[in-house]
Amino acid sequence: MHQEIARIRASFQKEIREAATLDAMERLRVAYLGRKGAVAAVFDALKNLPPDDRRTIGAEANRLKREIERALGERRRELEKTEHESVLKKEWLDITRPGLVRARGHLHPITTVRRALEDIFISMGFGIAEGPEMELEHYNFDSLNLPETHPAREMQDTWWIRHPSVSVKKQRSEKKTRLLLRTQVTSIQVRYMERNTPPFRIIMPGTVFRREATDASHEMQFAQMDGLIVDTKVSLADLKGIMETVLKKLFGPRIKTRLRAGFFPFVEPGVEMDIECLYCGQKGCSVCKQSGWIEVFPGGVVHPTVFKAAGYNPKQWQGIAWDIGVDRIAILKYKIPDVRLLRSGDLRFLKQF
Amino acid sequence: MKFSYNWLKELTSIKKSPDETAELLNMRAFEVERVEKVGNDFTLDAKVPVNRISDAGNHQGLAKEIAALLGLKVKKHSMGAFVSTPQAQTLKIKIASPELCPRYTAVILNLKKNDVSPPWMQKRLATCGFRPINAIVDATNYVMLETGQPLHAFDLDKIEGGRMNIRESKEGETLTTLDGTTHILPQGTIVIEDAERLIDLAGIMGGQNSAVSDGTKRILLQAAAFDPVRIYRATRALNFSSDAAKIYAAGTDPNKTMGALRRATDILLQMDVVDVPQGWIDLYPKKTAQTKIAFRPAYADKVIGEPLGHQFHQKAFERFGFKKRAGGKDKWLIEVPTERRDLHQEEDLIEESARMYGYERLASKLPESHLIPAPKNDAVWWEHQIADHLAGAGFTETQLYEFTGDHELDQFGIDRARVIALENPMNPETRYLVPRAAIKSVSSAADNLRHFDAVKLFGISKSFRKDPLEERKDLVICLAAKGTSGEEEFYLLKGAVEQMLESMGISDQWYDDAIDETRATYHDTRIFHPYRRAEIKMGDEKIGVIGEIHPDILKKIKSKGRIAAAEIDMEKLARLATSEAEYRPIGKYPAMIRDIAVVVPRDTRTQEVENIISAAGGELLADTDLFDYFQDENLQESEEKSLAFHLVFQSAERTLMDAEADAVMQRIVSALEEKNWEVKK
Repeated sequence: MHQEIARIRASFQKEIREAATLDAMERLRVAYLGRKGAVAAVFDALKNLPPDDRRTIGAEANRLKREIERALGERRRELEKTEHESVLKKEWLDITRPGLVRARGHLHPITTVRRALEDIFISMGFGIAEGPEMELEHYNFDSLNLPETHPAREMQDTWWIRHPSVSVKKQRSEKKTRLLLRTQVTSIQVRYMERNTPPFRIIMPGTVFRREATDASHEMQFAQMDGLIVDTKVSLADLKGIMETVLKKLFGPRIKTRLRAGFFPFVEPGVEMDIECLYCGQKGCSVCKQSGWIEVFPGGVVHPTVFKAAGYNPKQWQGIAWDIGVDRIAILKYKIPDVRLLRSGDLRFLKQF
Repeated sequence: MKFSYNWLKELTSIKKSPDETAELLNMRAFEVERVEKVGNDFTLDAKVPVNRISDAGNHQGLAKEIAALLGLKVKKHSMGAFVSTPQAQTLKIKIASPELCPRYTAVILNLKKNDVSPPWMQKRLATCGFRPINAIVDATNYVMLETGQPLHAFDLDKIEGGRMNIRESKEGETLTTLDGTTHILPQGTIVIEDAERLIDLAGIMGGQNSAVSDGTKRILLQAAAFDPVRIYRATRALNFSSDAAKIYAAGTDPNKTMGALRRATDILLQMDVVDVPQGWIDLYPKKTAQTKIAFRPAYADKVIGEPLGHQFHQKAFERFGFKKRAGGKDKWLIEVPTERRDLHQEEDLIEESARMYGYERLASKLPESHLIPAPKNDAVWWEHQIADHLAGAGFTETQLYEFTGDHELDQFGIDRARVIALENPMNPETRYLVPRAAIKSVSSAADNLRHFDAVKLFGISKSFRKDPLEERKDLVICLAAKGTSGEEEFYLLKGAVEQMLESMGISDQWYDDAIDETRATYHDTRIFHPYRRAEIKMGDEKIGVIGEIHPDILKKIKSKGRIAAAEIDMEKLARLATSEAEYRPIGKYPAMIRDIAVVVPRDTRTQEVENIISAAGGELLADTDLFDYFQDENLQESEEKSLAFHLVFQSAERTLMDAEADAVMQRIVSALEEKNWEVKK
């Protein structure tokens, strides 16, 4: 039996050296340690031996079993380690392949600019007021110191709506007024003032319409955002401060601005703020009409006539008001060459933002 | 308005270059759009605002403005020493009402010749954009450019009966102006008639029948003031204007007519085309007085936001030629020249001071006022939430025109009854306001299918209807794809709508396809495929519609693929939405999931199957979730489909036993089999 055990040991040592895979290891385990394996056969044969031999051979067989177990265990761990390595290696990914994406949607550039503006104003305590696009001549013009006979109305070519005139009650009297597509969101001013008591500060975003032939820089429909502060003490210097703050937040702290005279019947004094032309760096180009400046921000001190139209006492309140051309800001910010692209609905354009 | 730089320089001692002059006006007065070299002169193209045309819309006035801003003096022309006596009334002039024509000034001149004007005059006219014509026309234009007073020359011998009557037109009267245009006049236009006929469209253009021609021997040179409102209305009503009309519509200074007339006569005498006149015609019943305006320096400083001080204001007014008439230290009475028709009240004077100081010098501030929290605008807030959600879900926002035309309305089969028309369309595409937002989005989706295989769009846009007048705001979501059956697009769209509503805290919407075709709102779903459309409802209230665009419409708009669209009322959405959420305990006991598949006839609604399952499932069935909806060839043949559900069993009180779930499953299977549907577990 000693020889038999020695033979098993020798053959196991030879075979385990040759076993290169975990499967081979398993086969080896079954062949030597399995119920019908070589070691079991030795234990089986013990019962036929005399008791003395049985003890010594038994001890030897147990030693063999432990040796085999240990050897198998060690070898298995070794093999597992290399096999694991190779599995991981096989799972190699090409990290240069593009990532899988679900197509994202895009906000319209006008929305993005509008939100940026809203955020700036909301942070300064402004509320948001809206008004109808289908507006009364009264709110769009008359109440803003632009009576029908005022040639300044020609600055805003108007789309008239085919509809009978409607009545509006005006401080004890009633008058008929026509319907139009608002030419300016300033039309919200008197509407808001009629329903609210100062002090307040609001912005008025919205779409406006001008009956104009369109080209790369003129639209018949565009977005504006007006602002209005009514308080007991508010000045032209405040307006200048607001305009500069907004433009710096939009275009960066180094943007060059200038405030100059402007004429709008609903403000007095009237001003206009320009920014440096971002297209040409003030060298002069077709966008800035060679002037190096682009007008973006008309405004002024609210005209007493407007306060009167709203039923306010002009002696009691002061106001500053301004308008921002949202389309124009979008065009400048994103360097869009043709304003008509904004409402083209063309995804080749919209997906760029 | 175009100005000659050399001319301005002649009127004031300006040292600045043309560009510097333009810059000065830009900053302190009004915009100069362009400076252009013309020969040895420069054209300054200025956008003179309508309220400044009266004083600054001419060379003298602009020179005055520049001089005031720079603290310079203005040069005055010396006038010829004519006899300043009223002329014998060879012509009887009647003004129907003084408001039509506050002042009528004229002179009768014997015409020696009417050849070309001198080269220096022609050059200046050209610089200002006027074409030289003949001595008389050129001289009147020249004086208009110089003084801002329009002049007109009549052939005196063509004025019949030696009479002129200045009155308002009656509706339907006709007059042919000297450019050959025949006008049918509305009521209320100012006209001049002689003994027999209308001879002048006052302030706008002279009549052909009284125009100066080759044989003219005597002229009546007129410098009048007319009512600006009537002139403006007439130019609008007739859609006809002229350089003179633009000046008159803005209003002129009646006190300037005589000076301009004398200046014109002077120039014509220098040109040797007329004889020295005998005297003047001047009808001026009520002299226009100078306006006096109260001014408080302290208030001005408050409005401007900079302590300019009494002295500054006083100096500024002096330079503009205003006179301090009376008043104490803190309240002044300022008299302004009559040509300054833009100055009526204190604020107007404040502007004069402010721009004299220079807006660019003004120190910026920010308002000091009460800290009041800004009121939140829920409607706007939800619009932003929705836009963010949909952009995140792969939809791109569009902003589209709100106009439409007959072609587009016909494509979508829209009834004109509630469509609002525009009075003054620019072209066939702008005849109407768009009556529903979906039209524009669907057209846009179809356009985009030319460049993309699949399109996902959304927009929050306005639409307009009449009877009753309505301005709506809708959310429109569109999904389009080439080469598909449209089914997937519909369900993707429905899923997007559901998910969006969920993000707004709305969950109890349902879809109603039993649309009452007699109801007025039926019209909303008519653009859809009749078997692929529904109204989206909350309780009984319709909040929107969803469907696949009708194949007939797709054909008409030449769409390269199927388009599904949803249109939801934004106002209702914002009202129903809520950002509130409340914690509910997470189930303590594990859930058990069993799957079940059931084969049902093709037209069976999923909801019907779900209703049977949940009724049979009882309270232990926590959720039913459709995970497979399928139809293979065999099922297609038998007109059936297979629906597979995950059934989630869970109890709030205990861990469920297999046997309990099995029992419920058995009940569900029996209930489904009762309908003769084949169930696979």
